[in-house]
Amino acid sequence: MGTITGGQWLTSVFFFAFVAFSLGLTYWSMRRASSASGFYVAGRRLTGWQNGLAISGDYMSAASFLGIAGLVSLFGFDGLLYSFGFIVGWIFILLLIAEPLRNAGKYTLSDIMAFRLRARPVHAAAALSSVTIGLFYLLAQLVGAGAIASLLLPVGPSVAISIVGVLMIVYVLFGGMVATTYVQIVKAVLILVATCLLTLLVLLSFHFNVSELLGAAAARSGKGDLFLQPGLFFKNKLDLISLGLGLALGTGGLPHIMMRFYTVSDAKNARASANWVIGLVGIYLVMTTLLGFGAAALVGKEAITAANKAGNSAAPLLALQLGGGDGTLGGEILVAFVSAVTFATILAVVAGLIIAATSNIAHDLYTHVLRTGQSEEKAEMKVARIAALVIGLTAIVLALTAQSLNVAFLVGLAFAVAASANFPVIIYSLFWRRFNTTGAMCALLSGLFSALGLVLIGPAVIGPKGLMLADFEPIFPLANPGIVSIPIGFLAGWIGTLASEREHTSESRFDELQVRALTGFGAEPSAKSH
Amino acid sequence: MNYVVPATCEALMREILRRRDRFVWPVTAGVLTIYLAALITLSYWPSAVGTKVWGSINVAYLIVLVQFVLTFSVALAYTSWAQRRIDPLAGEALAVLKIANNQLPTNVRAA
Repeated sequence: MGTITGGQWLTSVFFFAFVAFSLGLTYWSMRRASSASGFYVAGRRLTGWQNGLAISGDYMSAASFLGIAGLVSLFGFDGLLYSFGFIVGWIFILLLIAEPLRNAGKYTLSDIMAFRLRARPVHAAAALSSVTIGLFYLLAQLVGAGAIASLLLPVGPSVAISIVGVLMIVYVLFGGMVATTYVQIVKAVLILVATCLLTLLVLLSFHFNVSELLGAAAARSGKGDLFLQPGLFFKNKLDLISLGLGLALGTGGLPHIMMRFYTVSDAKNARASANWVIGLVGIYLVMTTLLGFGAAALVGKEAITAANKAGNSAAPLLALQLGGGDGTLGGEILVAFVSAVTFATILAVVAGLIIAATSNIAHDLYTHVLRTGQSEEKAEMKVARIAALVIGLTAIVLALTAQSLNVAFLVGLAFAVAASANFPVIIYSLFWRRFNTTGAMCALLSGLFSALGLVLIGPAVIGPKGLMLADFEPIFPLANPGIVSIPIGFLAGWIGTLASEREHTSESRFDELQVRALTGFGAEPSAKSH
Repeated sequence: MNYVVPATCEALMREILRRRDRFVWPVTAGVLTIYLAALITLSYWPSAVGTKVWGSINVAYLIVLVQFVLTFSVALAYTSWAQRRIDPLAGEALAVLKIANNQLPTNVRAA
């Protein structure tokens, strides 16, 4: 427990107001979410800015709001490395993936692969990697919810995980992608407001002079100028580069982000969504780093680590300070608002993750692998709802079991798997005519298992900082596998393709894919009405 | 293929692909190279990038700032390029396809 206790009842009030509002949205979305395209992709009726806000919402997670600010507040410059990796990755999505994906796909990321490759094996392998990514991400968010709850709300971590878990299942089961998207948009606006407000107050304290802010942060950190240089958090140089690669290339392979491009009406709106994301998330990330420096300068390292060792409380403590300090009304209102927004964030992000994993199971595995593409929409929707329930409950149970472990590395692992397995196959599928099913299987499986394997034998699992075998040295020295596993994924796809026979259907379907990707001819239409 | 792709459409597509190849791949490679260069510089020369430029603002901070500015400008440049050089051709190709297949196409073939 930290020092933030006085405003907890107020946080609860704000939080329940958000929950009530979001449940209202869910009720209102129920009818629109009953068809498959309504459930998975909100009927493809969103506009570019709506979808851009929703995707930005997926990024403005508790991990970035509390995590990046916390990291910057404790380790200075190294926290910034997370922020610009996220944003650079969006260039690859904008230039290479967003538009063709919208034109040629249907519900999931693997649709784009199965368009030209043999559907059953590719759907199965892509679903395996996508569900893995989804579960890791989900687990990290839920465990994070528990940890943050004990900091900000008057409930324990187990209760918080259960509340968040049940709510996410309700949103998805009843409101599908429609409700999830609107919850995400409302939350994105709230978190942007909170971040802008806090940033403004921080800058005000330093006469809008960033240099003065950095100077004050460095002075109070006790590290002096080292605080403003790389190296306080990342001790291994290659590890830093590996993480950076995973962050930049992983986004293009994240199923829950990429499937959002199907929620807009056409390729131009997909492009517009990506542009909105770059603008909003870019500004947001710059602001969170300023909040980190602000917390370092105004709250100080001792108070931040006293509340939470990982620095997660830096942003709420900063809000308390900026609002007038402990015990003041302004401080309590501000901290309650920030805390409630953080919770809203987790809720919206996990709901999006559940939808993505559900589509992988119902659309990819059930319809395309088990039923070889022959299922009725009604049957698929039934499977989807059961899948949402099962995945949701599994995630809750796993999170309750793992809540005492440090699972922050799971988000990095999710990005690494996305960058090593999904990303190469999407790039090859969209741009390489000779690419074939063997190549896709090689890339998906070796990318997935090399990323997983390297983490299993790395410092996040083995060794003094890992989950087990504290007396041993990790076999693989890097915590982030990307620098090895991403080239493995790309190479495996390339070698697998060239070592196997040409696949004529894949090549002729590639020509068809190009017609559809470039012109939008035959692309999935948006729902007429709702 | 279960629909007709007329020769005019094929010519338009070739032109779109030619233009994309000349813009998209070089820019993608450039962004990736600059990003990697930034990561390598920051991790291998931590004290050099600590050199102060203006007040407490050092080279490291400017490198990060450049990444953000670069991302924003590439996004703007790509969008305006695509609107001028790609969208008209793609629209024309789509119109040709629709006429040749005398339809307002719905779902040609589910993926």
